[in-house]
Amino acid sequence: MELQFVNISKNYGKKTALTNVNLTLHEGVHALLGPNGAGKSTLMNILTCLLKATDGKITLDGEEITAMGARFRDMLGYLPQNPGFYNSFSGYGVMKYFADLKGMKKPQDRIDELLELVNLTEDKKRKIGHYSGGMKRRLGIAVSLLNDPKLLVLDEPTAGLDPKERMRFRNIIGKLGFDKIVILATHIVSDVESISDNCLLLKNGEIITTGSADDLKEHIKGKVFNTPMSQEKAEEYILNNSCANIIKTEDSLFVHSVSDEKPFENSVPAPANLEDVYMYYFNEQSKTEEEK
Amino acid sequence: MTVLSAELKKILIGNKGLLVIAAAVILQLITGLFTTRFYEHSYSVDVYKNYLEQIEGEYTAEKAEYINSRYEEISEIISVHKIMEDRYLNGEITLEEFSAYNDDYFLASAENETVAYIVEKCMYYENSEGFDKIFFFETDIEDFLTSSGMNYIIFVMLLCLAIPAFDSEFQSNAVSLILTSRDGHKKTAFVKTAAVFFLAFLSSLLIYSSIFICFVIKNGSANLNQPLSNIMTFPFYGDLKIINFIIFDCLIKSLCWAVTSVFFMIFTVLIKNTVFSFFVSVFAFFVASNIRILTDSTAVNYIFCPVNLSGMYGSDLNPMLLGIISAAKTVIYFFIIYKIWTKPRN
Repeated sequence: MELQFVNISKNYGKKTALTNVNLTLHEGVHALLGPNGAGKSTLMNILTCLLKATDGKITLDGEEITAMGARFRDMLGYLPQNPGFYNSFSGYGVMKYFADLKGMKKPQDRIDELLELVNLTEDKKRKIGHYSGGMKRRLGIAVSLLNDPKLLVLDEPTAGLDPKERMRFRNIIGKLGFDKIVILATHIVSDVESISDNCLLLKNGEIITTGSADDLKEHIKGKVFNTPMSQEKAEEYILNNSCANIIKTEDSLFVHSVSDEKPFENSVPAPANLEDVYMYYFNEQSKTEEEK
Repeated sequence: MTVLSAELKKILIGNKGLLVIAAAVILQLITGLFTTRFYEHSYSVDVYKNYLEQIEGEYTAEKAEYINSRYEEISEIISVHKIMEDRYLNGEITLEEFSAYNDDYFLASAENETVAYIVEKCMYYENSEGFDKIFFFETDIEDFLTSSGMNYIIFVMLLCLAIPAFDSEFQSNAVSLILTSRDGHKKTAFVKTAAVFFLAFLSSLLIYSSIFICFVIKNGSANLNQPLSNIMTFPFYGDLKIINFIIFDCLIKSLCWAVTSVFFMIFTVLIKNTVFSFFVSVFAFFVASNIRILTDSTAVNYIFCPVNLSGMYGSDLNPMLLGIISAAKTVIYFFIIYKIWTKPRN
């Protein structure tokens, strides 16, 4: 299965949200990374046909998705940012409702299987109004998986979840990428580092680079440094460098930073992680946002 | 849970529609039972009731003759008032004779309009056929039937039922999940429209039933089985019983309100904002229902102001035509809702 974005652009009046996005995706987990306002949700909404692109097209196995209509939606699972469910419904009731909307004939077994997967079996008869934020998110994932979609789109699925819920979520998504195209938009890099096959970095509406987490880490090899320094100096450095963070160990303190050049004489190269990649590519934008 | 039952549950429980309907019914019952409306008549209701004690029941030539002769007598008494006054001033009659005349004159003046009304009714009976002609006290029924036009309790109730049906999906962002589901486009548009139509029809019927119950509690139900054509403002209904007409009337108006509630939903899917949808719906409703100011055309009344149709019942309301127009309007409204609901945003 091949999903292609061809020259996708989106303008809201004079404001440009996306510029010539070109991508080709196959089965696997694709993490769409970018800061708030980068255009992730716009791209997700265009992909799910909720929003019209100003220009360009998206094809699935060569066929334009807007022309596929119900056939495309039959292959699609979508979890929007902050999905609202109905407080007067039970978890099972919501699943049954969306199973009907997805055209499923006998969904009971599938509903039970998915509620088990997201660990909501015991709470399936409780009203949604009594669910926690994490439970609602898990229910959302279950709803998006109801029709066993070939294309799964998750928009900021871990926003607002506690660490335990996020770990549970990663475990669920990690199991899904074998036979599906999973696109996961987020700005929380730690959520996707271990489960993504491919990362798509979106900045100011443009895809700036793509590749596996290891490839991207390789891109910034030699640009990540640890610099031992005093607490005072470290705090001063951090104030002027949003691309750095303080790491404390039992007997020392050093600054972990990403830059093209070695920041201090005593800096030593350090192994990169996906967060460093994110900081490297989005530092400028983060600075601009902070200035704003 | 089927999609229909889920949508009904959303409207009635989630959007508190059940509470809105209950509040509307209670308000209507309170208004109906504890407020009194005053109607102006050309005749005196008390005098009319007194005459009915003598002529109540089947219309006969003798009763008509009695009323006509009484009317002639009254007319004569009133017509000589100036002459009698002059005769008294000229000393041709005594004070006792003039006082006796004045007693008759005041009585005749008090009865004149009422007896004229009964005479008119006798003439109406004389020229009508196709129903059992019966004298009975019909004033309260006539007032009830001719005053039940626009009902603001139903109007507000339906705004509260119809607007959140789509709007709550926008506010909760469930719309994204619905519209990316295979059948979410068609099923939700159709089922939501059908559910609101169905609930609007039933709840309007409930309100009209409440109005009728209040009428029966206050006025009794003794004459509801009489033919409607005995009321002069409803001459074209043959042998149709008053109670049957009231049922028919409630059904037609409820149908019109159900269509109107679908009309409100157009603005919800278009505007996607609760407060603005509310105001725009109210504005659009009053514009549509006042289009008849521009023309007196019957067609305009059928199309634009069906909830105010009661004025047409006495003349030439065609239920079949109204049914067809209502169905056509509902289909057109649904088509517009569907197009807007499923269209990707720009």
